[in-house]
Amino acid sequence: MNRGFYISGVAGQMTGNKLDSISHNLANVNTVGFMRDRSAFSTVLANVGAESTGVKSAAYMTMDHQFISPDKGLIRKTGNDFDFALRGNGFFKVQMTDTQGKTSVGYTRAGDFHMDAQGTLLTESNLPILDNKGKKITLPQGILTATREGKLSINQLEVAQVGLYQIKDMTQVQKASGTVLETDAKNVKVADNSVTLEQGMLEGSNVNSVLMMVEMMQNSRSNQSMMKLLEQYNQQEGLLNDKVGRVG
Amino acid sequence: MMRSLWTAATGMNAQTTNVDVISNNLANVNTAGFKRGRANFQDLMYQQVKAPGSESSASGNQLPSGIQIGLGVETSSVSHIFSTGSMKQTGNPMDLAIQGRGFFEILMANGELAYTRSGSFGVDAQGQMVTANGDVLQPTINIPTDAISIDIGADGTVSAVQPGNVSSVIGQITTVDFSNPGGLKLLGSSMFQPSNSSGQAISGTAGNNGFGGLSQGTLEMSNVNIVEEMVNLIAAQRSYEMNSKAIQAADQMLQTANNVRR
Repeated sequence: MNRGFYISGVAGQMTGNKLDSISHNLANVNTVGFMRDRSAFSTVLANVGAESTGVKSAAYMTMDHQFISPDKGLIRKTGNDFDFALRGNGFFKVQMTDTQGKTSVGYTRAGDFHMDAQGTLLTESNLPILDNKGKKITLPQGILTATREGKLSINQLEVAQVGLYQIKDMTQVQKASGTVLETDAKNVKVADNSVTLEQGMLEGSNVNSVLMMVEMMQNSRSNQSMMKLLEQYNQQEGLLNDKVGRVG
Repeated sequence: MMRSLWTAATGMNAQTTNVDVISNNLANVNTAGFKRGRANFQDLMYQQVKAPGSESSASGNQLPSGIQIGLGVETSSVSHIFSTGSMKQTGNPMDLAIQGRGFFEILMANGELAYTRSGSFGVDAQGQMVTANGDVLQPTINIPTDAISIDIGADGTVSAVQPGNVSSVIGQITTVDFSNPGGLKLLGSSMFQPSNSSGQAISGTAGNNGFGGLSQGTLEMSNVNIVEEMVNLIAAQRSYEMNSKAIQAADQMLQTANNVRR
């Protein structure tokens, strides 16, 4: 069979993968603190080094890896005491517990917090937020105020210091649901003073909807051309079957 | 079938909820003591296509990052924003507004306590101060039948002037507050009840210790900002449209694939 079949078929399939990622970004266009995915494609070579046997090498398209865009979302004022936005490249640290009860840490920019009956400060997906010493933050009752450095006070009495962190290499990051990022502890450092906390504000998703629509159109077109190619190969093969070898 | 069909569908679903919440806010733009709602979203789980750190070649090269494809969005909660609403002068001595933090405590007909910021009070047959629904304000304030005028101070002291120009203190309205009012449970009629996330009621004196003072003859209207809601509505409708476009794109791609073989 002509290898062009597979090359165009695989490329068509990859545009499908890209659309998956675009749809996910568009679905999260209103998710607080969401960071959009970007996919990177590259070629893989098949049959390299086998030319001596008469097989030509071919380059197939493949989805190589995915980046998380570190762009900032739009910060808007909400006036809610439990809403926080981070200025600069900072992250909140949260504690995650798996089904076996093992705990790990994650990082998020989503600052729409609330608390439970014990006063533990939680994210929207009910993960405890950790302070600068890695402990859960428990708030007594009263009016919550926060300084730009991350000090939390209840009725003007300081009770906790929110842990603010920076991720050194944003390509070494994995996503978990609930707008949480996971990364190796070595890839994280305590935030410098370029990161500030803003109370009563929320950072929206960093999905640029215009850009997404453009990418989607471009992706649809490239899918169409791949399918056109496939059609051409199909016709060629059809002609071959019909004409070649026919006598008279 | 393509993941993006379902992913975009979750996006449309979420935006529907968003429009529901916005419509409710707009419908209550003139409701005294109404607090606007906000739909909160979070991303769904990620499907691991290629794990980071997996080997990319026989010589042991490792992939620095992998491929994770997200599966969409869900509505995680609808929270309520307790910023102060606009104040309206009514001149009615039984209308009360709290200027700042605080709630009135109300005893409902079913014997449960509820909290409200809607201060349009009246007097029932027993002479008690009641809400527009007839639920009794706590602690109960009994208005003497022969009262000529009622005066309520910023700290909640209620005094009545009776015939002969005799002024006497007849009660004290206390207000309560919550650590996280955004976590309160809604009962309708601008009434709230505490939940796990709001914390329990803390009582206090109006105008003291961070509690807002009372203002007689004023009503707190809703805190819905029409312009903001309209902008949110436009944004929600457009994101709904974009998600539907993603479904169309997925559908078209499948169609093209189907048409390859004639």
